[in-house]
Amino acid sequence: MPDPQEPKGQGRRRIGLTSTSSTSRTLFLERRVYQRRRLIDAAKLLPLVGLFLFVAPALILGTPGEENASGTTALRLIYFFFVWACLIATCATIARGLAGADHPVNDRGNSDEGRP
Amino acid sequence: MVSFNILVTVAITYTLLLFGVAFYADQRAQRGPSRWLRSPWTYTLSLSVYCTAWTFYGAVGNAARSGLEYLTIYLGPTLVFLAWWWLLRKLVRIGKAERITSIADMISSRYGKSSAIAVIVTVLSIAGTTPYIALQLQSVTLSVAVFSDFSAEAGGSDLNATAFWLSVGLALFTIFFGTRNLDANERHHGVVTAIALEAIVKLVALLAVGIFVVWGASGGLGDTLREIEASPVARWQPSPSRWTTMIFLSAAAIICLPRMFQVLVVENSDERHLRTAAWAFPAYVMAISLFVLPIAVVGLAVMPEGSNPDLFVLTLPLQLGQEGLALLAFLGGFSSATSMVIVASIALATMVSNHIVVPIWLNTQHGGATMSGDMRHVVLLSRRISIAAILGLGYTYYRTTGGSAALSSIGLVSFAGVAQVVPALIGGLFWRGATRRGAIAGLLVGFGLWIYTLFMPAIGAFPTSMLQGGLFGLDFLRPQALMGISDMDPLVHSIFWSISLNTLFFVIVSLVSFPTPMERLQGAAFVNVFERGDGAVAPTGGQAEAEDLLVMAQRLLGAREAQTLFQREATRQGKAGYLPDPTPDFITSLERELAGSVGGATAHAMIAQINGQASITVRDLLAVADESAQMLEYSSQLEVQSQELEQTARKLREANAKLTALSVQKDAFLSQVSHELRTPMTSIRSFSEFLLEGGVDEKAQSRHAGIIHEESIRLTRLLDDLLDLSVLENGQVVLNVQTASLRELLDRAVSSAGVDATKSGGLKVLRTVEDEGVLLKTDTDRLSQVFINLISNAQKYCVAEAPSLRIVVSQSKDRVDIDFIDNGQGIAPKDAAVIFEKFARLSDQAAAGSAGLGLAISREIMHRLGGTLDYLPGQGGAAFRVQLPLVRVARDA
Repeated sequence: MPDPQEPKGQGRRRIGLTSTSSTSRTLFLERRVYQRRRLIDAAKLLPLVGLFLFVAPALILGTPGEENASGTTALRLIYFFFVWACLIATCATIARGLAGADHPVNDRGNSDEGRP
Repeated sequence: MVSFNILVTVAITYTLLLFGVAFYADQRAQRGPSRWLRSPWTYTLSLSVYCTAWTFYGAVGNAARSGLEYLTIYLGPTLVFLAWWWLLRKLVRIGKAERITSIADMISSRYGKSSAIAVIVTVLSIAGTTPYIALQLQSVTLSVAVFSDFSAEAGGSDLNATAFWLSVGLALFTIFFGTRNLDANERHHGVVTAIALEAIVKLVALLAVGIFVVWGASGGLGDTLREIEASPVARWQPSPSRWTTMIFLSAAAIICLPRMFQVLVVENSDERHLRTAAWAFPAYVMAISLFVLPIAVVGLAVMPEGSNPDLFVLTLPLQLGQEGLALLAFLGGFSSATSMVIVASIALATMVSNHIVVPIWLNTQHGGATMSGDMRHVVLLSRRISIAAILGLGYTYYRTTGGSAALSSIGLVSFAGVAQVVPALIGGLFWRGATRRGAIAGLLVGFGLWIYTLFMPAIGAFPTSMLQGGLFGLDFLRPQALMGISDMDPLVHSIFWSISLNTLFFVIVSLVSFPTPMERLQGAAFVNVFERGDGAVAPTGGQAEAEDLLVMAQRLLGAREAQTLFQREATRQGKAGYLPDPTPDFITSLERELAGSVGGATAHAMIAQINGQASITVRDLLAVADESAQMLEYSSQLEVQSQELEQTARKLREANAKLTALSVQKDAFLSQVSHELRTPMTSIRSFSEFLLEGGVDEKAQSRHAGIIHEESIRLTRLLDDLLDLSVLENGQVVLNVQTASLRELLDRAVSSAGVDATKSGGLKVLRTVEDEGVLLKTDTDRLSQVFINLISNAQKYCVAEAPSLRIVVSQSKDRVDIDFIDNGQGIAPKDAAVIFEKFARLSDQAAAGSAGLGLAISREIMHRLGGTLDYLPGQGGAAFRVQLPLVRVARDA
């Protein structure tokens, strides 16, 4: 329900302002910033990769013990732990690379790093 | 053999150790922040509260029954932690920004601080968690029973007593460390440190049993893998649908379970800890699950037929004579159970107290939020009672379902229950269009379907006839085969229907309903938490008194903290004392501070109670629609302001210049007048001195007297002119209105000006007589004066060889223009501006007898007559246009 006292045209003007600011985004970035962006892309994609790797065997290979299923339980156990370890290692690498990429705030809004 | 007494002694010693650690951590935290207490490792370990006794003991049982299915319980959380960057970070950031105290608070805050949603999620959480607490009690009593069975001590096996005292002990611990103070940040350092320690015990215990089984009981890794292939577990595998459903459920559980939300978001002290937890927690659960299948396989092979696989972790070492290892395993299980119960009851108690007890209490108190007295006692008391009640509920549940097999599947049932929160939570985080009504609709539908299709059948509340025949005998309403889909796994079936319909209702109702401003505001603040710093908007139109606010804040935060807060704000506002102006910004930040103690919805309601009918309007929303837009608006406002200032300054400058010019003009006028008066006076004086001295002949005498006379006339004329001008300028002139024909007036003027074209170099006046037949009703004498002035000016200043003056009369509907155009050199544009000024004489040429007041007087006259006199450029010589209105004359004519 629009506020009757709302000055007309204000919203439209604001939208205009926002769209200007988004179009004025920088097109090309310096190497470091560019690489950080790709690292963030990787961080965003990682869970999807993990989901695929975790779900694919069940969907593609069928249930072991059934007649036309491939891969034994032991092999699958090794597969899952191998994929798991790889994902953890990748995640740790990405997380290390992203150190300082976010601007965290703790509860009082200040950092307690550097205190004794 | 480990006697029951030794077991109890060990358990009690371990519990005391936990008390000690928690107590020390609390003391340490009070002295100030400690690097160790708030390290990412403590945070990561505290997350292990996910691994309860159900996973500690139950995972092995699950593996023994269903092979690899147990992995899904850990794969889901791994996926969620891999998504830390865009999911967990957002949750934690919002949790800090909005001072979120629980999952119910989170969802309620997102949907406009709705109390209804908070209550629904709280009830859902209690329904999902109570059986789970019962399960923990059962696992501890079962593990105790295992020891007493083995030690063949008949007297010590009163399981109910064990469960009872365990509940009491847990309640005491939780009340002591979970509700020591009403921390605005809702952090429990003691509890977190204790569960971090328990996490280590769990991991060490399970790894120790696993290593013993693989390298001790079995013949190493290769042998174990061969045993797995040979074992019956290799044949029991989850179907793809169950596998996927379980991964989804466990992924949902890791963020939606009240206890997980508590440690993940509420207890998080630094967002950067997520960076470590993102990989360390998956590594932890991977380590926990590493030996589960081997233990199950070896257990199935070694243990006698019919033994409970849920207890293999404990019974296998006992069977193989490893009592110390069994004791460690018991402690691991005990840790798993207790940490879950402690955190879950804290989380639930917070929800119950913030969203149910305190709002009710506030409503029953007629004094409202402004009443004096420390409310923290009430909040703390309600939390303590809630903790006791929740544990009592868990214990009752355990007693009534009495260790039945129904309990063992309750873990997944719980997961499925809390997973109903997922659409509202995730939708709320990433979709601004999600509305309160949509969330309520989705939650209720999902909750209802979960109860009907999973919870009730799981606890055996439905009779067999209903399970097979459906509600009211309607076949399509069979709880485990809705719409007649009967060949689905009951869990998959329930999740399929509840989550899909939940999401559907959530989305559709969100799409068709319109959110309140508060919802839209919170929605924007949640979804765009990374883009903007604050996003807060304060209610407008409130009448909060700073003093009332202080009274209320003191009751919730404690006197000293509240005063510090108010003083800080007052200082920031540049005021002395404790009472800052209740600005919208301040009220918003205060509300947030209070939300840390009693939850967003309650804090909002309390502030609203004091702040009167204040509400957030669409205008407020637009005012903060976008911080950047706001900044832009602010700077454009500044720009407008500075433009206005500049305009004013320019006007002032102009006015000043005009004043200065006027003052200069006045001085010039005075000096001109003096000069004009002085010249004739000098002549008069000198010639009269000649006459006084005598000795001059008569001829000279008469010449002198003539000069004196002439100069006196000139003086008189000058004084007349000045007087005339002054009279005209002051508007004191009396007009003598007569009717005359323009032709007559011009005739008179031409002759009065003494125009004589016959003289050599005399001015020739060219007229178009037929145009001049206009009757004018005006002060004819004055008008003639203007004409005469213009004609004589032409006479004086026109320097052409054969000077001529054209008088052109043109008439329009309501006015007549009379142009006087000579053929001289005209007037330069820069001079055209000054010719109407007093004493303006462009050169002294032929200026004799003129003081330069003529045009000034003429213009004043025309002004009085209602017309104008202007210089007309571009006519090939000096040209003046006299304009007169014709209105009245036209009627007379």
